[in-house]
Amino acid sequence: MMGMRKLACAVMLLCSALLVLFVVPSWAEACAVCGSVQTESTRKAFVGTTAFMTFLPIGMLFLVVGWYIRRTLEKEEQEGRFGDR
Amino acid sequence: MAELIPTQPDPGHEDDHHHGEQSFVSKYLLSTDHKVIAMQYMFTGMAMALIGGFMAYAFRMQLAFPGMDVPFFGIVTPANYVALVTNHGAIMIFWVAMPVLIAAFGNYLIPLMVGCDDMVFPKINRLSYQVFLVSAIVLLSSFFVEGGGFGGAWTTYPPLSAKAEYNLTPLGSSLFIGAVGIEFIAFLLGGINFITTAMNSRAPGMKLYDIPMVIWMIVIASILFMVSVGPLLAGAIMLIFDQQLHTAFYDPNRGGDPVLWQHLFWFFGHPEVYVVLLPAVGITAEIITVFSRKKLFAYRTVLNTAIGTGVLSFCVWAHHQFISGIDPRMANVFTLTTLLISIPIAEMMFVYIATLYGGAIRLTTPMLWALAFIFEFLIGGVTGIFLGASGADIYMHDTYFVLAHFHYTFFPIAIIGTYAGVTYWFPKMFGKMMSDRLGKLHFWGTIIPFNFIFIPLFFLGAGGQHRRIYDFQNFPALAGEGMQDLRILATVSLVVMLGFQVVFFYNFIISLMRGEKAGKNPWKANTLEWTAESPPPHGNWKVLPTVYRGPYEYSVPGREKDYWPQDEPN
Amino acid sequence: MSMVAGSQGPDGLEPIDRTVRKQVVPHGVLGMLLFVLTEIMLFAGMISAFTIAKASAPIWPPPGQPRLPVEATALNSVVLLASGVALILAHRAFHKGNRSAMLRPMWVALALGSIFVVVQGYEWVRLLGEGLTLFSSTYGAFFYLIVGVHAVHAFGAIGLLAMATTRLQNGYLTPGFFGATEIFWFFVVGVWPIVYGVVYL
Repeated sequence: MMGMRKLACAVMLLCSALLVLFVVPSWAEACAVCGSVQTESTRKAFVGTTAFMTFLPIGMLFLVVGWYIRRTLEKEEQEGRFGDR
Repeated sequence: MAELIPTQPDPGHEDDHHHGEQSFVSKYLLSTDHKVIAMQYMFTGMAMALIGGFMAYAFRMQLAFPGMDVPFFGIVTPANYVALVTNHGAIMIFWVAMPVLIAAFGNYLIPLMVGCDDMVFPKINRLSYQVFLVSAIVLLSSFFVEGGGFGGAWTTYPPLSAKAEYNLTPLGSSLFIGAVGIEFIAFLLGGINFITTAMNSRAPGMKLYDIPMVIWMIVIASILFMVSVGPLLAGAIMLIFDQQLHTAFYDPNRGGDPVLWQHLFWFFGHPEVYVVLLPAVGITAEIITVFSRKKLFAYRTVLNTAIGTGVLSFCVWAHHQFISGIDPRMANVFTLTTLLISIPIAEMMFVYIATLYGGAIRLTTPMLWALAFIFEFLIGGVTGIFLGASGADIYMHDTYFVLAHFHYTFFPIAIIGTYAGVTYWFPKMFGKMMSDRLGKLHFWGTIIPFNFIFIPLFFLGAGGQHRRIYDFQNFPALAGEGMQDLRILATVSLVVMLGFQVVFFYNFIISLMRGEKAGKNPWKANTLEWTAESPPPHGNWKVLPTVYRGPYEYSVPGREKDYWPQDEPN
Repeated sequence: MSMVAGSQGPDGLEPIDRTVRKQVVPHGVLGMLLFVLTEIMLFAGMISAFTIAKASAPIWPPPGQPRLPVEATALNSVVLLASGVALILAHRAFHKGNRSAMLRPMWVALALGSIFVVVQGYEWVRLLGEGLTLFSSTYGAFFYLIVGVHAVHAFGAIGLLAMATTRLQNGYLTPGFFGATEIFWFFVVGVWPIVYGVVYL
């Protein structure tokens, strides 16, 4: 379980780092062709759906896989190696 | 939970298990045995690899010797060239790497290594291969329809792929997308089986942390695949609608957006890299522990970093679109995540090196392949750093540098990883040992030319050579003496490398016929598959094994033998 | 107790000595859960694409296109949600081991699901008559794509539930099969309000 908590900490740290970068867009205005054709609303839609499609699977996996693994580990802890025979 | 035990057999299940003598059709073509299905996947994948390799040969000859009448192929026209390049990419990723690394090894190893008699959904498993075979046939048939095979690159960016007026392959483009879609359905069915079997059907006593690393990797890869494939399927449906029904999903003149495809495609496309990478990493873990007679240095670390890689792989995909006009803020974020994902992979490599350190290393053929995987993949990973940084990528994008980079990742994964797995599990699969001398000849004959193919391409790419050019003579700046020499070097190396593959097939066949009998456990390995007969019968074991410990107990102090099988009570 | 793995004995009565560890959840439930994750991402992809197309259009819905039947579909959504409630009742009866009590809610869920599909089909015919087609605009194209894919899933769910009902009547509905059916049905019911909110409103 320790590993999980460390992982969660790492993810939190990553997210906060991303947020910092997100409010300072001027740091990345090097690309000559970026964003020349899109309207502001399209740009927002792309950013929004990118975030949505990125975090939806991660969230679902944490819920479903996390639930399954935790359940299995709990059972193993309670019943030992051969509790299930 | 309420006890509702079936009072009647499930009508769907009856006919599988009590045939006496099975006919050829029911034994091989309609078998639900996971080992037969695995072999079908493997041989189909190998056949497709030969086709894909032949395609590479044809277009590399054109690049080195423009306008040449290529032996066994003929003149490579511009339309041929783009179709060959496109289908080479698609075949090698979707019809070689995926079926062999995930489907074949997954099918073969999961039930044997977790100690059960078959997959939990054997019929779905059978269906999965059947669907996969259909997809391969659909793809190959696209070459023989009017207009020929699709030539808009394996990434199929619209509007080129969406409009027949642009790509000139009215049917080929739809067959291409259709084949990819059908293939994904096959792997979806396979993935459900892999995950459910490994998680839910383990032998008594096998705890979660007793599962061999290769199984974990295949399971994580399957989960990544299943969760990432949905948006691409949605995009593929929309693309086929655009091609055949002339809807306007990707047509900017009628309210669509071509960048939308890249958005949906790369959402799948990048996790896909890790889908094929992780099984190869797992195979390497099995091999280096056995042949260095040491415990895997940090089992939980490898597992956690694999999970971390999986999580991060959903956060990096927009780095393929740095010059597609995406929001620079996104480019910023995705640069960061892309550089971050190299950390877990690097950590795995360090764990493997630490496993090797101080071990009693035996340089057998599978071990050589596994070591080569670590070494060559490292080059691929390090060159990826240049491309992951959006600033450098603006210059490097669509050059041969990108091409060499991803061949340095995909070749170790798909080819080296496969050869490592095949040479390692060959005794189990067929009950015979492979010739070590021929195996080493094949190894060196593949690895040395491989580096001579792709290192020149790094130089060419850094020199500004664009990826999708048919004949460099039309571009004086790129057709200079030195550059053409490098192209010829790469092509000649490719021909040498393809030639050495004959050694492998010769070795394969000769070992099948005249190889030394393998016995149950020729490598003295711990995992459960080595406790079954070689080759394992239908049902794998007479009595299913019981597990007492983890899979990597090698050279345990105080024990007479230097290995300790998982099913030995003490 | 141990559960029988995939295989039944030759005559279906005696399980072969192939007992494996007790499943944490039944195979069917785990398999379907994974499949539904994929399906959720399929819808996420389509909804993302729709959002982007909508944001790029100067006026949405495009001028000259018929309006979608917001109120009628809201009513129809309630019908679909009610079928989910019916299945929850069946779930409770199943876990009390009361088979006779679960047959009726399953039939109700089947009927409500069928009503939903039929009404949706009727609305499609009407909209096609009013000039909203796959080719008239991206508005129409996305409408038919997303709602059509949902309809395909609804058909699948109805087929699965019908199979479960037949098995229940014949007395061999396993927890695995019933669990899988439930998960798929709840997915079809649960994703609809999101589709409705994004596409219709």
